[in-house]
Amino acid sequence: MKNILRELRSQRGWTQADLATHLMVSRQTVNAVETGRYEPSLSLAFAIAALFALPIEQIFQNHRPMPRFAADAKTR
Amino acid sequence: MEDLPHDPLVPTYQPTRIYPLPVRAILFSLWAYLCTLIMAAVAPRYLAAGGVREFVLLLPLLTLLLVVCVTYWVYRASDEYIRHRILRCAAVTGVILAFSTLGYFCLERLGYPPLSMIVVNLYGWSVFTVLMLWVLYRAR
Repeated sequence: MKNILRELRSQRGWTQADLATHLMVSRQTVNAVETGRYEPSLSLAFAIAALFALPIEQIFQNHRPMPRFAADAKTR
Repeated sequence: MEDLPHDPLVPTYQPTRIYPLPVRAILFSLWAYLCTLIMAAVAPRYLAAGGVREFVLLLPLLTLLLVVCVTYWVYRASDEYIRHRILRCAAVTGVILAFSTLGYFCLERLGYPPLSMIVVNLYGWSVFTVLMLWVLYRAR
């Protein structure tokens, strides 16, 4: 899963440690999420989205193929 | 750093900074475990059969419990990624231990002396502690 966390953080002039402080996680966690080595839990993803005031899907881009029934529902 | 107002919708996490305290706690509990294990190993040679010897022989169980409690405490105090890393440490320790014991089993077949389970236990906990300390060091 790709994300634009690094860009969002850079726009605000924050370091990884600053972002980690806001999210109350370790700097290691921020680094792992930014580099895509770790996919955050739903609650952490919500916290990130709320912090940057953006919808989750704008921050995290899911490249996993959608289930067939969901894709069908969208075309209807 | 820009100061942000508190948003009640943002989930609050437990403080997750890895202070030196957990590292000290892990080292101290492992040290206590090793001491009691050595005491239990030499007790039959120096202590007469009785209540005191039995107590000394069972003491490593208590310190092992301490090691497990400290590990669990560190796990609970960590954030999700560090927890993920700690679980990975446990899995890696299991794999290392499995291959090591299998390797030594083959050596035993070739004539090496049988290995005490205490040595296996010591080896396993030492590997796990080293991996845990590495995770905590990286997460500082």
